[in-house]
Amino acid sequence: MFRVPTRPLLKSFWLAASVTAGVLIAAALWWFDVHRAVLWGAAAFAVFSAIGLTWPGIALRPYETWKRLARKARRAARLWLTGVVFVILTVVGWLGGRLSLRSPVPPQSGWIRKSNLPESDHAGDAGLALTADATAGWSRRFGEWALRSGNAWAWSLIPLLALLKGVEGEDRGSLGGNVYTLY
Amino acid sequence: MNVLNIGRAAVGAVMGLVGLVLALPAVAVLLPVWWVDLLVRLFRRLLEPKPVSWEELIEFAPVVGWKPKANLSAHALDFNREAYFVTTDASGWRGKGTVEEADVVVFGDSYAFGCGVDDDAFFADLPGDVRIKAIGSPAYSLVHSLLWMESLATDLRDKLVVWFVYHGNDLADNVHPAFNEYRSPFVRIVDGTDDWELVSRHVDPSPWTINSREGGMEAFIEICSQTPQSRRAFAACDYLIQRGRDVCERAGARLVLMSIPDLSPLAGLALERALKKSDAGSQFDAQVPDRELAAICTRAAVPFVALKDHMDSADYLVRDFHWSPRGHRKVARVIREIHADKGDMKEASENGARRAG
Repeated sequence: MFRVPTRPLLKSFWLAASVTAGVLIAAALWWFDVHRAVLWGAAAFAVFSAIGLTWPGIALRPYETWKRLARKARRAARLWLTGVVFVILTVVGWLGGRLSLRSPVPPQSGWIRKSNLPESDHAGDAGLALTADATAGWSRRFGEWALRSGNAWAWSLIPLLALLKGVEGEDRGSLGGNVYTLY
Repeated sequence: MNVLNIGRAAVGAVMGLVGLVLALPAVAVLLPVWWVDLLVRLFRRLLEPKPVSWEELIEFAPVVGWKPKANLSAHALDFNREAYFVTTDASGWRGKGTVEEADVVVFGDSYAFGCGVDDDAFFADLPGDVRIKAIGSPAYSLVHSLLWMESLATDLRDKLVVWFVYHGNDLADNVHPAFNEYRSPFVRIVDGTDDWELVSRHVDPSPWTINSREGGMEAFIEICSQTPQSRRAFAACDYLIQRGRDVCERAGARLVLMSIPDLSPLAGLALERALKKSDAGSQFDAQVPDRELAAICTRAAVPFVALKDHMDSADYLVRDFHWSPRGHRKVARVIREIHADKGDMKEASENGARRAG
């Protein structure tokens, strides 16, 4: 669906930028021992926000630029974090895996005795309480699954997976073809 | 837990810590993004009004299917999901004043309702010496307008009646028995004849389950091309406009048909894409609606005003395909000019005749 920034969104972005500017100005002045640094920061916030609230249109270009930068930052962070997760998976699999990747040397054989799989080998999400929102409580469900399946090591991935979830941002808009459908 | 699992858990714990250290550059990059996102969410919660949904804006009305709720004071959402402030009167129509008090009564769809702009920008409420009352609702077709015209006929004496015809979907919706799941009055050809009839027997509050309505750009392209759909749509218009003219004549009102083109940048983009996909795209002619409507109006002796001659894309919202506040000001000015003609709509008729020719 085609979307352009709404006026409340532009105002909110400008206010967020004004708060940030105010905090940075106050911090910089405090660093240089300027008298009443906090007051100067508050004054900067007041002036910036008054401009944006009066003319929200001026926030459009800075907002678009910020959105572009934020998208690039998210993409880079996602790539980096995914790489870190794969490093952990590789190391754990390499040092603690059960799967032998070497070819058997005679008289050894690759054949294994037929038997039932242990319960823990096919433990999945089945039996876990599902909430209305599939993404809600994912870390608890993931932790439960890891414990039940004998993969407690996977808990170490939870902080990284949480960071990856935090990287998710708004999707890029697309234009709907049936714009007259509702009118 | 066996030895292997304990071993893996130990390796996992160590690698988890290593992973957290390795993740620090990503966290450093993300911190400003999270900070701004958090503040924006916080301020939006404070600044954004709580909008009402489409279902809360309308209610069932016998014969016509739906109408805006009475005494509404709420924020509705436009196509871009941006809120705009709407108030309705005791009858459910937007804006101040009543039909009895008005000099001009406008019938139409979402344009007559003023979708996308706050009350203070709504064309019928702009300051001026001509009092305008708009009778319209989102998703209305010409059939709804005609039914309201008939229903309010006794209050139309000596008034100027302006009938909005929006190219986008009005022409297609006149012949559909439903607007999505809402049952809607429509017109159809009487079996075995060339006559048309208005049908509203099926209109009740229950949902319509078989939706044949297209309502998208494809339907608009078909209407602007040499297709059976186009011929059917304008034959329906012919019937409706003649019937509207008769209602106004009997009521002692002066009817003017005002066609609304879609010059919005949003619709322009959507049309461009739809034309590439459409089978009828090669025959597409954007002038068809105005040409056909002008010809119908000439035959029916109804003055015709093409808003295309008065407006440009800057009169439309960027975020929606309805009029911007500037567009509303222009429309109000055109209506005042027509009203000032006081029965002498010669120029408009001549324009119509030229277009038809």
